Amino acid sequence: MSLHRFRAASRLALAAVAVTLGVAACSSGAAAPAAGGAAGTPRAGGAITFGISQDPICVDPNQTDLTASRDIGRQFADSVVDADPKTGEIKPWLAAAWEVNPNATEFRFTFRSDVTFSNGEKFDAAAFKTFLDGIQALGGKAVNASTYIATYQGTTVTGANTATVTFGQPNASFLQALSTVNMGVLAPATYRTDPAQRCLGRDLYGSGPFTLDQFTPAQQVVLSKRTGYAWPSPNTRHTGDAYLDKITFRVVTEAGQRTGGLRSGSLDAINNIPVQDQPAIDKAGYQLLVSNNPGTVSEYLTNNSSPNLSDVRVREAVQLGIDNQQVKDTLLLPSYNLATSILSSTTPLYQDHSDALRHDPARAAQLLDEAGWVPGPDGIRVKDGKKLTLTVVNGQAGAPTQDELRAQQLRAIGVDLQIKIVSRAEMLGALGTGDYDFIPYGFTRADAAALNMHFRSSGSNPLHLKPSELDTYLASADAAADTNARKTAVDQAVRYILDNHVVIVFTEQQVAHAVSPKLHDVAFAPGVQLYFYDAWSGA
Amino acid sequence: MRSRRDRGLTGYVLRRLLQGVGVLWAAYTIAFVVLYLLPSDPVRIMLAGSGTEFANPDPAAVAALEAQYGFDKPVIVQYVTSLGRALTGDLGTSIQRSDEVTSMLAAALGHTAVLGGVAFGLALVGGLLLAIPAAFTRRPSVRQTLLGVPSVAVSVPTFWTGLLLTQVVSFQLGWVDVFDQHSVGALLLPAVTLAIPTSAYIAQVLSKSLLSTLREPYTEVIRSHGASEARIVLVSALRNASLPLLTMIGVIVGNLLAGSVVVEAVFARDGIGNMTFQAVAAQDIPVVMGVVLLAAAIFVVISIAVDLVYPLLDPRVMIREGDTPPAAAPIEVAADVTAAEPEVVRP
Amino acid sequence: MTAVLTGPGYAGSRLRTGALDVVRRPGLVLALVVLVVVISWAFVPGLFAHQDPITGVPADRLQGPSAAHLFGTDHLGRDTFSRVVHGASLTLRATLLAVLVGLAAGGLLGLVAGFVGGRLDAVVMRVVDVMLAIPGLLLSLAVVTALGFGTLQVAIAVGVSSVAAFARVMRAETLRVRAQTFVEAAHSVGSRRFYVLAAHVLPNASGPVLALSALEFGSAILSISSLSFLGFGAQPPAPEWGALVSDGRDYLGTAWWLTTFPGLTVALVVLAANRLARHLEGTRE
Repeated sequence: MSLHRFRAASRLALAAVAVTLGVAACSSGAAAPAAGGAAGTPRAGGAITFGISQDPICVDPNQTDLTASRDIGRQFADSVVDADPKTGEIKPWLAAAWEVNPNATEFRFTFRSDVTFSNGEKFDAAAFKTFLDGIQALGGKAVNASTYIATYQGTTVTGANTATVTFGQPNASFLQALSTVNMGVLAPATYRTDPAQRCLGRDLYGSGPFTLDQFTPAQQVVLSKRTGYAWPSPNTRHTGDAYLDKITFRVVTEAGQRTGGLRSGSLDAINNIPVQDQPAIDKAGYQLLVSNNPGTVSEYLTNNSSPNLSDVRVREAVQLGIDNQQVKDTLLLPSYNLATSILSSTTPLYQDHSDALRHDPARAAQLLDEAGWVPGPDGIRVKDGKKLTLTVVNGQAGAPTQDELRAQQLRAIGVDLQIKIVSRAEMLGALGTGDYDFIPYGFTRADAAALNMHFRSSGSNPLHLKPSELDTYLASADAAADTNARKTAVDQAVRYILDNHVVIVFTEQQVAHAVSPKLHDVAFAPGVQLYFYDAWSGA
Repeated sequence: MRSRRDRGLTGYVLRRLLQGVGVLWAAYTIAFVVLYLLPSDPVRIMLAGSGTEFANPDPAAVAALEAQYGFDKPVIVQYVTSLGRALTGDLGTSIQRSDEVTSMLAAALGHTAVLGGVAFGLALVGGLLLAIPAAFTRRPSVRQTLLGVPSVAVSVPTFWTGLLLTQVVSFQLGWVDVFDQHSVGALLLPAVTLAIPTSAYIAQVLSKSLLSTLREPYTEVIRSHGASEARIVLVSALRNASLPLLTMIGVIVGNLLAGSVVVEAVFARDGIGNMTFQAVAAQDIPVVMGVVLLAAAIFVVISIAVDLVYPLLDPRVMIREGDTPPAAAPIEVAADVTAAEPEVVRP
Repeated sequence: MTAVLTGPGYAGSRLRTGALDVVRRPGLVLALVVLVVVISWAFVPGLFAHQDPITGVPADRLQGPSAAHLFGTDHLGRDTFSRVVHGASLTLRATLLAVLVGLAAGGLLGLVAGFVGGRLDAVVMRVVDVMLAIPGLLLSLAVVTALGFGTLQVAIAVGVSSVAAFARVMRAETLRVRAQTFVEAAHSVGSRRFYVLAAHVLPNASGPVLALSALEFGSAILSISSLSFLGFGAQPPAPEWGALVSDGRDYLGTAWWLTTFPGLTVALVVLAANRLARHLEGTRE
């Protein structure tokens, strides 16, 4: 995913996509047609079971922000446009054509006339209006989607298959936003139901190649093939119905159980490959589907106002004390990339800043000495009778083994890193009140504007930053008239973040799936969601 | 005479039911008190559950949610309101899943009932297989060994048993597909896991009462009449020995329900247990509350049923008009077999 | 669940010592040995395990049992044996706290109920009945939901779930002793009377309560490790036993030793505690 691929898209595209306070997240823009043995001719039929590590919680593509749910939503909800997985270029999907006014406040669409939803309703200009109005009505519940149309003024239906969308502010990224799963179009009837019920998969109808049969929270999601499907995305390899009859997304939170299930044949594919099982997965001949997420790298949100971390020397010492290479070697798949910037290498406008990031415990110790933290009797540094104890508040399920290893590394420079596992709600609470030192994070979005999510001192200011030139850089990146100006501003912001150690950065985020050799042509949709339309089972 | 007795029985049942309602109300209150110690903010949990992240704190939405769930009112008002709703069968809405707790419980109960039922059956068989040979063997070493098995069985953590079983039976031997919820094998593994401590419990109770029954003179007499009567001895001894067991069904079922939390989590199975696990992890108060109430309700229903069935099985027992029902007295039941019988009249 | 296995025939409780017992009860001796070893682990872990339980050598990760690493190493290269040994202190402290919470709260409730009698007794015992109608683990989970996650919270939660059992035993003892000690008590009033009674009840009740404590100790270890296994207890990298099993489950297919040895340790200690409890309550089989 090199930079030039995105330049073409950058005028139109570039939108916020996905947020996860979690390990894996999704994105838009960057993607690749993925795996699958090309061996043989596709055959229709077959049912597969996909083992997913995370409960989808809410299967409404418009409302969710979880990877697990978006992998599901892509199968039954189509989007108005799609993005080219290689170039990011916006392509027609449910919309056949569009025009945009010069300042990107007005979008005139012409839609296909042959599209129907799985409940029989027709997709037309009126359905499109219902969809956008529905997203707006969801407000904060549509975590990502509502932010894409923040200044939405309305949609005017100008004909059976033509409509005009207007925004109060320029929204150049609107088309790219429309290509995301979060902006998957649902049937008008769906938008008349209670959002909570939609989350549970009730009355959730899309126009996709599969239909949602059943969602049992924390257990499984069952999709089945829709017959008569004739409007696939331009990124697909075939036309007509999908090949697979049935896809079951089965929640298997235990890593060992996922691998065991894959090897015993009860699962045809799994996500979140446990690193310790990778040799066995390789040996057994399973395909690996791997993609690095665009957006920010995996990082510790760092409380810049906490008593110990307000001193930049302490933040820098922590970054220098952490050995990302060792974390990767010990706990991550070899395909992970170490962070070379706050932005991952698959993000538009990314530049290599690896000179700002290194592992240097000696320098870390020196910095802590300078900051007045001297080694105490138990090796942990002390200042004014207080220990240098920092707390990482981990609101995710699962074993935070990376935190443990980092704690081990930091102990060597006299920093005591305490790990506190809490519910996601408590973690969000800590973000708000500032009662934390570190929180594991990573924001996936195929745009350098991913930085806007948490590096501004205005708004919710999760890092508890004081106003600084960082705000200026971010603002000028938003307002930049051309790509070059934007690139300069983004780079200034990135450099500021790295030089001031505003957050502690680790490795790029990655999604990694293992797929049985029997299952062919599973693809990544733009945004690292899986797409099963072309997939077929050889068994 | 008969009608008087019937009237007594009706009155007894009514009183018993009334008392059951009292127990449920008290359980509700205890759960409410416990859960409202919660230091964190339920509305945040709700927003977190639906995926709203930090950059999007819409104060109006927060206020609306607070109002919707009544969190903006004083605790006592919340208590009275929610109790009122509970009386109409409305246990509120899951914070995490925005689904009604009652319907979530109803949907999950079936799965757990099947699992628990199979586990109970297995435990009964296991308990009998241990207790009967232990009671009838003439070799003390065999008896000691058999009687030692239950104490080992209750000492082994169920989460560990479950993991070992999955590893060996499913992954190594490939006999069972633990992911297929509908297969018998996938049911059997968690059921065995759940049954192990329960069977130990049953074995212990049964062998204790079997041994004491066999020591009674009348069985000695029957025994001396020859081997042909051995079966009669067994049957009558078992019949007597099963009475204390009957009084403990409430506790057994409660423990199966509690055990299902660990077992369903280990095997990633659908059911009340897994639902409880998820709810605790997300601090989903209404769901946890619902599960606690469900457990109390099951206990109450079973103990009423046992009290009513008991006299039918033990002719020495009859319910007398005006008896104070023994209420829920599980510890006596649990702790001391001989004190476990309901208050009875011995003619 | 274990609470019901051996029930209180407490009245006849007496501790018998002497060399004869050793010969006659190899099981009991073995149980005592296990407990003594584990308690020593808790107090002087360094004597038994020389490797760092928290800081590992990542290069040595996931090695099977060997002379260098009796129980193998985990995913961060930490010695599992060392973690089990050092985990004893955490697990036993949490267990002790749980038992103490149950003992103190339940004991006081039982004492007051038995002493005051009448309406208060009825109310207290009804509450106790209700608490008993809720399975212990569910009650603990409810408390954890309220308090949040952590070793301390889990210990309190498990303690709360045993309050009812202690209250019942204490009340029974109080009633029994009250029936015997009225002479002295009758001559006193108010708080003095309560003091006299407590002075009589406490030593008399110590046998049954001690036996119940031993029993609760076994089941508290199980409950605490279950809750830790579910992820509500000890915070990483603390080597709590249930958490060790939980951490190891991702490695079931590749490193069996990670789940096997800590699980076995829990089972042995609970077995030993139960054996001791059975001895304390003086049952004979």
